[in-house]
Formats: sequence, structure tokens, C-alpha cells
Amino acid sequence: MMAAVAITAMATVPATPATAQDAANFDVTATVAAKCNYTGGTIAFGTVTTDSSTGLLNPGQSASSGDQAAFYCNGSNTTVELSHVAMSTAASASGFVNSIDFTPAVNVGGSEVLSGDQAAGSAFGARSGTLVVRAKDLTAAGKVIAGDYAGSITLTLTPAS
Amino acid sequence: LLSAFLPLAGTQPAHADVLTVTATGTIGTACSIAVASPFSSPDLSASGSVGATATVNCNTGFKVNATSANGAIKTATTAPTSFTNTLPYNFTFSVPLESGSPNPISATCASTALVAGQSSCALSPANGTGLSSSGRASIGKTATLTLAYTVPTLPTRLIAGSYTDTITLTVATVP
Repeated sequence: MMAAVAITAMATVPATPATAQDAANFDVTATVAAKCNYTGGTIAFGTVTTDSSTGLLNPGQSASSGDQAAFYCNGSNTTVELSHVAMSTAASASGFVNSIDFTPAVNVGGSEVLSGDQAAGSAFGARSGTLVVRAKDLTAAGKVIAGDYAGSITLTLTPAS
Repeated sequence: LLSAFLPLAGTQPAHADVLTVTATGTIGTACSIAVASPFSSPDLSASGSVGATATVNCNTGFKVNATSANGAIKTATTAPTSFTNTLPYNFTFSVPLESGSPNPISATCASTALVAGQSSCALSPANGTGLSSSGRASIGKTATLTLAYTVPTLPTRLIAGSYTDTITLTVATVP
């Protein structure tokens, strides 16, 4: 006598296979540091002119530094301090003054962006373009004594993003 | 009486019992992707590239799509004249397959083509074909991701800040 037993295990196959799907996130992060690119320079007036009859400075005399074409500050919260020391000479004589003042100014990209001293922390922002520092509108309190005059402009930029 | 129930060995023919068990089943399609190594932080002071890897595990044919959250590496800081806050890039995805040619399969897409709704590139999120494996599987393979960027040409510069983007890679079996 032979006994045969057939056991069939069946699995259901769907008519339309299901779509398996998955996803993964890849984050990209980078930082661009805030910085400013500029250097010091020289502003040379040469010989300033005076009124031959009064000895007073002729108005409207200004001079500029050389161009700094690579200037930029890329931080949107960059601050500035601009200060100056009037030009003076060691020579002195009664009836003459030995100090010549001026207004410091800063041009960027051909436009004047600062004029006059600026307190530390003044807003400057992100700027790019040719930098020119100017000493403009020479003034003196009287007749100026002859001599070699020297002063300074200090431009301090603090980059911040 | 008891002995009447005992088999008499050797005196009766042996029974030949055959038990046939037929088991059939279906291994379901599966497709997964996971971050193996993330992108390093790109140095945006010069043009370059960064890489990452992913583990792909699809036991049947599949397709790949990618979505960029920003369409570029971007910072929220507003960019004034002569600056930009957006750095587009080219994204390349390459994954080895079990067999066939070409192998691996790869595609390169501009980041702008990876924004939701775009379909112009193989990896674009709305590209129905996606980057297709043409019916071939990839079991536990390591895929490579490359993000190549070119910094702006002067006089335009990147505004300072934190730049981010998120690339979402999606794998799906193709019935």
C-alpha cells in the first residue's frame, strides 16, 4: 500500500508588484568667513597753495591715496572707525599757524561712502570696489607758516558676518 | 491477546510512504538607501569639490532621484551689489550594480535642476525615469556622491555667512 501526501504551501503574489522606496538626506554646510582686504598708503599733497595776498590757504584743496582695486569687506555686519590727525609742522612764528586740518573721507567704487571721523563700531557693511582714502578740504586757522606738514588718517575695518 | 497488535517483522510487506512537500513563496522587492559617510565641509575660498557615500540595497531594478532644498549652497544673508549669497554646484551620483553594462551607472546634474518640480536632468525630482538601473539590482553597494562648485568670478564675491543645502536621494524599485 502506498500513501502519498502532497502538501503545497502557496504565497499570494499581487497582480501589481508594490514599489519599495526609501530616501536619505545629505547635508551640505560651509562657512564663508568675514574679512576685509586693504592696506595702508600715502596721501601726498605736494605743495599746498595759498593766496599770495592774504597767506591763507586756497579753498577746496584735497588729495587722495592710490587706488586699491582689490578692496573688499564681505561681512554684512562689518564696522568702521575713521579718525585723523591734522597735519602740522615744527616751524612756528608769531602771526602764523602751523596746523592744517582736513576732512578724512573714503571712496569705494567711485562713490564717497564715508566723510568725516567715524566712531568705532559705525556700520559699514559688505562693500567691494576700488578703495580710495582722501584728505579733503584743507583748512587752517590763519596764515600758514612754511614747512613740511604731516598728519594721518586711520581707517579701521572690523569684519563681521 | 496483546501479541495480536504487534507488527510481525519480516512477515508483512513494508509500506513505502512518500511525502512531497512543495513550498513556494515570494521574496518581496526591497530598496533602501542610507548615508554611509556625509559630505565634509567645502572650502568656499576656492573652487573645488566634496564627496560623500551612500549604501544602496535594492534587490531588483530601481531608479534614483535627487532633490536639492535650495538649488544651491546658500546663506540667508542678503547680498549687496558685487556679492552673492548663492553658490550653484554640479551633483554627481554613481552606484555600482550587480551585473551588466554600463556599470556603475551615474549622472551629473546642475543643482538648479534638482529643485522640486524640475525634470530636466536624470536625477531631477520630477524626472519619472530617474537614473535607472535598467532592471539590475544593487545589493549593499557603496554609491558615491560628488558635489563640485565653482566660486564666483570677480568682481562678484561670496557674502560672509553660513551656507547650507540638503540633498535628498530617493531610490524606488521599478516594477
